[in-house]
Amino acid sequence: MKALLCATLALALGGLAPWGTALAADTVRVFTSYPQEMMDRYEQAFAKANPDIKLDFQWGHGGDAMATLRQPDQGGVDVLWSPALKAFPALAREGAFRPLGDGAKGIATKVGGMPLTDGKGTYAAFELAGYGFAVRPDYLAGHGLPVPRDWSDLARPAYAGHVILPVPSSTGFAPPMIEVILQHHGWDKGWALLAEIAANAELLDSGGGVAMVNELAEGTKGIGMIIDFFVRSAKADGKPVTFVYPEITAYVPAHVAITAKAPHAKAAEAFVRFVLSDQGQVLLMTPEVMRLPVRPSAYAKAPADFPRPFEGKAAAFVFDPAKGNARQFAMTALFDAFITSRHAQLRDTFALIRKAEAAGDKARAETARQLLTSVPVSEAECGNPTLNATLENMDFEGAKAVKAGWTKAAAAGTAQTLAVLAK
Amino acid sequence: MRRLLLAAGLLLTAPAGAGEALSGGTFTVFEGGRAAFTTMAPALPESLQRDFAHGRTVFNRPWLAAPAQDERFIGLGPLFNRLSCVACHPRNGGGFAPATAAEPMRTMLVRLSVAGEGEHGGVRPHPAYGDQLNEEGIPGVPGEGRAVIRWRERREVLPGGEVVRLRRPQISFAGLAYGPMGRDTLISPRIAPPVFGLGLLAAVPEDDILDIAAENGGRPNRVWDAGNGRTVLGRFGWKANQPSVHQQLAGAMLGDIGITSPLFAGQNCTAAQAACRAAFPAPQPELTAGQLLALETYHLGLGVPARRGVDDPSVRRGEAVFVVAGCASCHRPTLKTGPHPSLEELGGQVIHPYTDLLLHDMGPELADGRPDFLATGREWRTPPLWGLGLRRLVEPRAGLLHDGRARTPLEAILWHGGAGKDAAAAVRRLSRDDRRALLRFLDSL
Ligand code: HEC
Ligand code: HEC
Repeated sequence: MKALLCATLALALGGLAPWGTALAADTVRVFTSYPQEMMDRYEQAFAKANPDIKLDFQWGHGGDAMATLRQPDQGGVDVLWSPALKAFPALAREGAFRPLGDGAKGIATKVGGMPLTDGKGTYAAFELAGYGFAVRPDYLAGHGLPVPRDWSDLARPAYAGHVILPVPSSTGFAPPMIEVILQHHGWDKGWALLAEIAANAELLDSGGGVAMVNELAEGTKGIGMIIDFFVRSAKADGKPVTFVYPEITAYVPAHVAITAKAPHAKAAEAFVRFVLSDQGQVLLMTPEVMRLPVRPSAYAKAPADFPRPFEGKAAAFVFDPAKGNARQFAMTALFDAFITSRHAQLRDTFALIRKAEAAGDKARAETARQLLTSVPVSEAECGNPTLNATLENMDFEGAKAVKAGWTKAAAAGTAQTLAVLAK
Repeated sequence: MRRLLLAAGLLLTAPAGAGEALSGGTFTVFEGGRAAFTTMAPALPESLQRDFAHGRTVFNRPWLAAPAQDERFIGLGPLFNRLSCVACHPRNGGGFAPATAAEPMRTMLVRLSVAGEGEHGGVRPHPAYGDQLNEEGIPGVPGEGRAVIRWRERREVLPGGEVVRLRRPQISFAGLAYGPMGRDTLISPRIAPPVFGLGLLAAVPEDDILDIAAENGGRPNRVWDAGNGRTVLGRFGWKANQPSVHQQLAGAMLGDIGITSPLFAGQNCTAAQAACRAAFPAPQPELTAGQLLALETYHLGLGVPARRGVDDPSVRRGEAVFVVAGCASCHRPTLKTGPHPSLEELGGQVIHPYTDLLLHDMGPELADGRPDFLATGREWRTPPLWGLGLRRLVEPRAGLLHDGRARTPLEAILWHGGAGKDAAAAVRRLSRDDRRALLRFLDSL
């Protein structure tokens, strides 16, 4: 055996690989934050369709994508392919991308009323994911609870103790989901609703969607607020969870773009063409991926129960991701100050308010609810760009001071509420 | 609550001879689908479950090259094979070999060394390429080259007319970036094995393993325990060349992803690799003690899937064939665990791993000619067979045997030579029905 191996080796060393050397002629470097399993799916399928192009992945979230593509040589990256909602419009404005080529023809540019790109053609949507509820039906049935139909249902007293709410400062998928609630219900009502949902919920601050689904599968909670693919993928694995889209929701896009300085522009175009092709779009529907295609024709091959975000009436609610992007740092810090920092008190105080309500003490309950849920920061203030820049890095003293102020204001609200309830 | 669920699971799914189906004792999980190897064992104490979830992230998360903003997962390479653990161990299952010379090694690697004994009785790494071919490099650091696999296939006809195609790999290299490999290089291609149930195997008392060796002629490997600075029994890897889960994990981090850890501090660059040595340094160690501990908790806490269909008459018949053919002499159906140094719950379990953790001469056709500590170039550790019937569900291309040459259990059996030759011969003589029963049994594991 050894002799045999050495003989083959010698052949290769002589520069004469006895069969096609299998070294690809071209490469393409793709920056992504997709999970390994999804990268592998696409890598294998792309290699089959383009055997002479080697696909190299570089991995990182949006922040690292922006830092890399802002280097003078754009880090040698050819393609950005990622659910990085903020990075694409920001980089496009800076001229970091070149035109996509013909691959994006026929790709949706809107879902409902929501535009999926800046409309200038340097980046395209690649897939969509929708927000809603991970539900364990047997758990809900066991507790005599109906399946929730809208976000506001989760604030109802009956759901107390049965919900998981992800903290947006530490859960990548969560900020746009919180924004859906804020934008749909309006700033003040939205925060009040979030506070009352939080009172019913366990806050999830690590492990993300995988941890949430596992918790549901283990039977400790019945409902999780989450993005769809974690749940539909777990369901395909045989976990006892299903996904429910609320009446009002948003679908957020992931995108693909070719860098302005792409060293391998032709290979980059081939990659983009592939992921946006029917074949690349249908791959999205495999159990380990479970994202929603943006090429409407791909839905022809979808099973009957597959979600169809491009069909039916366009929702009256139009989600504005740019608004959320611009205030993300302030919103997540505010969430931590207004909700996370006093989570236990929210739970206890809402219990008292509900008790007062049940006892017919309506006026007092109303005042208490008003005090407990009034958010200490206005919508205009939260959208302030300087404030958001300050809050981008929570290690800085300036950022800590702002958040400490908000936390104090929230605590004062709790104290006032309790005083009213104690009278 | 969790214990309650386990009890319910037992009631619902366990047949009369419940114990037999519980492959992992209280670490058994009732997952017969794609999540069979990724599910937490119910016996893992509540206090460790957060750490387990953290370890799951460490296993699945791709690493970034330095410098990067993402602080917890930087330090990829400079040389590496894949970006994450799960890339080679898909859903914690086994890897596979490339189908053709054009396909890269996606879930497989090639170990390298030169003749002679290295430090502490281990291998002597290749002077330019180290002890493993790292095909990839971070930007600015050339990957070491490509290992190319090419198959030579033969057909075998079994009694009853069934044709089995047996393929054997030849390895060569292309695009070597750090000079010629040299004629004397010893090379050993290996696919990634599944990674569940390892805590239980770590808890099998050494004396019990040595007793089996005295009985079946297997040999223990004796390998270097870097953390404790002594030579101990080897348990993990295709040649049992790793002493503990802890060291196996730290070794994989460095060897496969280029991540330093509290156990293995230096980067994986040889003297011949200047760009590798000059690469931008990440904060050290790249894998923190906390991350390593979490990764270990994850491996210790993974459940072993329960057997399915144990009462099926043909499975029963296959089980008898398994014993009569001599398989059970190496693939031990039942072991008992003793105390585990860090996780008490792993102790005192009756488990059904179908391994003896010992080395066996498997004949010239499976030999790699590359000794590793006490393992000779013809010896391999008996791999556990628990979960065998679920491997292709978890990863549709999952291969068998150290180099992934076998695509089915039957192929794997027919390759058994050396000390396994008689067992393979016995299977060749089986009637078609008995052969089918044997395979049904293996599928129930
Ligand atoms: C390039 C592919 C590859 C990558 C990446 C990889 N492994 Fe492995 N793994 C293997 C191979 C091949 C073996 C067998 C090694 C041997 O026998 O020498 C193995 C063995 C193991 C084992 C021992 C299993 C047993 O039953 O003996 C564990 C545990 C393990 N790997 C965990 C990990 C972890 C943790 C990581 C991430 C740090 C990782 N692996 C990354 C290929 C890989
Ligand atoms: C002398 C000990 C011995 C006997 C007897 C033996 N095996 Fe094995 N078996 C091994 C070893 C060692 C390997 C790994 C060989 C390699 O990877 O090259 C192995 C590999 C396997 C594998 C592949 C497992 C994997 O994870 O890749 C299967 C399946 C298997 N044996 C089944 C059987 C069956 C069925 C029998 C009886 C007909 C049998 N073995 C008899 C030692 C033995």
